[in-house]
Amino acid sequence: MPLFFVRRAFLGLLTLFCVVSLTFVMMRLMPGGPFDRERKLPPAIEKNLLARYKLDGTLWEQYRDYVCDVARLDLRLSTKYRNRSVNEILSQTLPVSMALGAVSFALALSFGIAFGAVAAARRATWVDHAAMAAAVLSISIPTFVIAPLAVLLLALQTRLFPVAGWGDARHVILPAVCLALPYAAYVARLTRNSLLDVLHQDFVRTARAKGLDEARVVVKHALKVALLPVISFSGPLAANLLTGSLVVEEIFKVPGVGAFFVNGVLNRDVFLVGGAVIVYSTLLILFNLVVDVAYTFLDRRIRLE
Amino acid sequence: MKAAPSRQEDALAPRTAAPSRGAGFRRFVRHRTAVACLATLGLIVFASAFGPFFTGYGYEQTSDLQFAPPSRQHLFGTDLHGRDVLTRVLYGGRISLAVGLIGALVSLTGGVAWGMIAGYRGGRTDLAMMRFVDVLYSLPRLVFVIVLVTALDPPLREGLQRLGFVSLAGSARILLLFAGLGIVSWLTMARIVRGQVLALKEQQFVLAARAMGAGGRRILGRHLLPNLWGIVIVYLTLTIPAVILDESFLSFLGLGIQAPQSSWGSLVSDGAAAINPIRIYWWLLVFPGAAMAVTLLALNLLGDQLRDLLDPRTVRGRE
Repeated sequence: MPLFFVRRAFLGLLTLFCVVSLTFVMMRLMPGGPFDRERKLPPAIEKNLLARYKLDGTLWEQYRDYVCDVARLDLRLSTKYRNRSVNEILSQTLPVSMALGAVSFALALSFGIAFGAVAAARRATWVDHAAMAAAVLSISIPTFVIAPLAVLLLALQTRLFPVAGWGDARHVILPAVCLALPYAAYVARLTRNSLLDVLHQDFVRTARAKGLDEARVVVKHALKVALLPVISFSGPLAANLLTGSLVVEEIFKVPGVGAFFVNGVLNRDVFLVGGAVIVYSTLLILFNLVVDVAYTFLDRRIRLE
Repeated sequence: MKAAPSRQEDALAPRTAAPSRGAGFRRFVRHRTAVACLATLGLIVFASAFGPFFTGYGYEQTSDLQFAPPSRQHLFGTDLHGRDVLTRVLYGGRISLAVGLIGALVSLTGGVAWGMIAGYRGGRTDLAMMRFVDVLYSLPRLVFVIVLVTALDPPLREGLQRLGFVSLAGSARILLLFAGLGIVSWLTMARIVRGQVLALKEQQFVLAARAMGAGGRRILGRHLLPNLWGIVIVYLTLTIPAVILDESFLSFLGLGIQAPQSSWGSLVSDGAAAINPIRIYWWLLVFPGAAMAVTLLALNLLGDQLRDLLDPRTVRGRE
């Protein structure tokens, strides 16, 4: 068990290192530095600027220094938002993205599992067909089509929700639902398929033979095993949702990481983009680890090695 | 092949158990859905390929008729610059479908080959190859494509111009978008194929082939590959919608296809940008959105059907 964590930590760090290197190289290879403007800066000023943002020296030296700084958890200064460090920007925007993501995550999992379980328990009835038709529709209609339509109908026409912005709980609902919808549908399909498999297994028959009512059989016995694929999907799902969907944040003008990231790429803001990518990847690696550990709790036959 | 019936033969073999009364009907409906999906897709591909020649407008042809609602002249209405939305939707379909096709091709060649070699070789090779896949997996997919496209767009453009491909230089961005989406699209396929190969290579027919002196390449090509087709095709139909969706996300954010060219994502983006509380230009949002939704729906349904058809477990579980 400790060996498992050591190995995973090592592999995780290795992955992160590759990610940092790749991002740095790509951002630095981009023509057009972060300080290029219509009017060329006087060389002396440009030199000072580059020195201040540690962008002087050979590419190799820059890269080496950057990796060292990242290892010290210093993500450096943003070149676009002068005098603000990437750490500061991320610490202000990440909580917003994470709050939105957490609500979406809860919605996607709860609704997805509930609908999937009901569909499996009532398979081949109209409940099942309706739930699965709704699911495949929600997967196929892209978020950025649903979201503007929702704004049109629910915010502009009927004024049930605010159009955009961030502040109180009412602002969360529309973006969270739009963000959660395709994932909820995916979870519902996963749950249904996996539960259908499990319901045919012997231990379920035993549970029924003991005289348990169907609801208990499904919820207490079968669902626990059937959720394994859902759990493994929820790792990347959580990482995706918590770091915020670029598109949903853009449509609802949520002040999360998304806009900073997109603008960062456009402005050649090397360290802001690097910082965001590092956060994304770290979360992804962490959640995958959590998933692997969660596996062992749900299914005792699986051992961490 | 004969020694061990593959999964797909298993699924296609006539079932001996008497099917319940509804089962035959349901299977028929399923196939009919698959046929309907294929027909819809064919229609969309055909319309996108040839449609733009027959609408009577160019995709970048502007006019004074701004924001005209759908009418006989402009079936899907016009946009901010008076461009015909129908033409732009059809033209956008070309790009969106091409992106999907490229993703599918990369998965089909790169993903399958990578997974087969990793799974068959095993040991260190497997570890190294799959670690590489894992690293790409931990890169946020879209973020990677965004950085790639913005980073390499200008140098590629310059390089193409220097080499004399002036006409290609204008579409450097699209080429990069294709490449970037291709790079991120084969990973799942590689993982799935590797898993299948790991299971298959322990089977007796592989041992028999090896005993008869077949080399690695022959075993992979002649014995393992035929057994992989089923699952490969299923994941192919699910990869295409994912790649199309990725491209449209990027175009929506303004990082993919740039005006005056169009893709379904950029058109929806235009439609969303035109939303205001005073006048509602629903046709800018609804038509490209519907084109996209129908395509994705058909592809997803087709993938589901194929999976049901090829996986004996799910079929039995449902009847």
